[in-house]
Amino acid sequence: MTAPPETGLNSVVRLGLKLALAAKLGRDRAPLVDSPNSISLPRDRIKIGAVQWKADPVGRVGDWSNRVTRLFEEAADRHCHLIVFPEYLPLSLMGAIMPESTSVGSLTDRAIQGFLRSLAPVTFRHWHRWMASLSRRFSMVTIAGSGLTVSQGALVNLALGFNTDGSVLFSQPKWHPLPDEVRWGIAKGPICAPQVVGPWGLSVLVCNDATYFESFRMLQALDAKVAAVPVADPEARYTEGKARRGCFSRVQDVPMVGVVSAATGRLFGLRLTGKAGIYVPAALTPNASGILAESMHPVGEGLVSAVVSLALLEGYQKVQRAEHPVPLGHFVQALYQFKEDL
Amino acid sequence: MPNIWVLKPEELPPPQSGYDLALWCTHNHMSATKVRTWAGWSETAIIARNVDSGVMLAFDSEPSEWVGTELVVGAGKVWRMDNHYMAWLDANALNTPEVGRALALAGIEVVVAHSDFQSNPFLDPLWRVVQSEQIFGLALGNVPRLYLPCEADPDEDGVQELDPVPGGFRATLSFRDLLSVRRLLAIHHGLRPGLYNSFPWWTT
Repeated sequence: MTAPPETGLNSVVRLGLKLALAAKLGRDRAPLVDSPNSISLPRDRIKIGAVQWKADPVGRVGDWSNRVTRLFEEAADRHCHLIVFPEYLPLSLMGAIMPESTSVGSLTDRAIQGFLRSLAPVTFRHWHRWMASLSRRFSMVTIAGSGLTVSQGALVNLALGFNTDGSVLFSQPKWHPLPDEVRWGIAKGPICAPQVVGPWGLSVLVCNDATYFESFRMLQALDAKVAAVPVADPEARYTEGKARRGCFSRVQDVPMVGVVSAATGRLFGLRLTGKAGIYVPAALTPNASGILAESMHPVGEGLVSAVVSLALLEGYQKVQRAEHPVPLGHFVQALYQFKEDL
Repeated sequence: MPNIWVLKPEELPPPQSGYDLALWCTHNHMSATKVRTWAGWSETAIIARNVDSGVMLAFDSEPSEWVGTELVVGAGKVWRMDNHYMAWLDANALNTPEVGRALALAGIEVVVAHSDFQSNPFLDPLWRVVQSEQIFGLALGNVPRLYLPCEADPDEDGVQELDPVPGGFRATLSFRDLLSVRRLLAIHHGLRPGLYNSFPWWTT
């Protein structure tokens, strides 16, 4: 199949593509998993796995599910309790009906919007089913990354978390989309309460949300300890500086465990680079680097893992809060007395 | 493009012009701090900071110019140079991200601070403020550095060594670069005050 033309793409064509994609994905069914034995998760020392994903479009749907399954297996082999996948994990599935050479650069923003609104939700549902199934099969708490879906008429980038029984733990929209995403019709996530769950104080912030310390402050107010950050950075050139200014920097200012899962490779003309990593305040690492684990290379696929002590982190959070308290209410409140850009 | 000189402690600069602002970290007690002026200096503002007390002094041929331009936000001082606002922040203020945000939203384009992160600039809270706010940062230490947004740095790391000059180092700031960076990705335009006010982390 050739790439759809830039102009003249009408709803009939999109409906045809949507049906073709749904049919292909429908043949790759997520396995049914018996009820797992109830497992007891540790409250303090937890092992976390962060995925680096090669996001190039997949020609065969089964390749996608096989690779996701292998990453779960590797995390299970390493005895991980939590696994984190990247932003836009399901979008690679669009390769089932679109050639790898399709480039966003050759399409109008309107055409991209049309594709995303009609096709991305199909991949979202497939991804949801598979991640729920694999979380249950491997009895692993899972931050499944994020995908695009239509909610109340708006196209939103939504992260999902699953419990060890495959039930949805929480969903969290991306609050601060990038300018390109806005041009492609992806809406700012609606105003909704930040999700912080369980004894680990687990939460998720999607990619550019980690650029804003405000996101972490909102989580901190709810006693968050672990912030999973699925990313897909459209950066052709990886540099340490660009990598350090997101989650790594935020957990130095607002102490937490930051878990970055990165999409890499070429996704419909976008060059993605990034490393999976597990970051904590520098004072909590033996070499004062703030890095517990990190991928070797900014492209490719794999898993990094580390054990974190949440009790140690909690102690550090208390000290930090005493040394660097949140400024007085009237000072901070005065900061946010302007109108949001639409 | 203003030139800023960062002078080595206890070294007086040569009597020459070529800079718009000189920063001089003194390790002496305030009362012992000597700020001399002579031909070449008299036209130039001098900032002297006592590392023990954190007190900053601004001298100028027309001291009255500073009156009314100096604001106090959090910890630190704000002053103006060539219609650009600069701020001196101490470590406590740097580690409170709301302070950097407030200053940048108010129009500050350069933050100056002492740096203890010579070996790893990415752990320097000043570097974080620079990246979050898309401004310049002058990190003063044994080897002073200029921090700038990654997009404004050819190496894309947001860290530049300063050019050595007699008696110190020189930083040249291009404020146009900041405008270009902000056009590319306007972090402040992405702020969500409606969201933050709905789930405040501050005491109300």
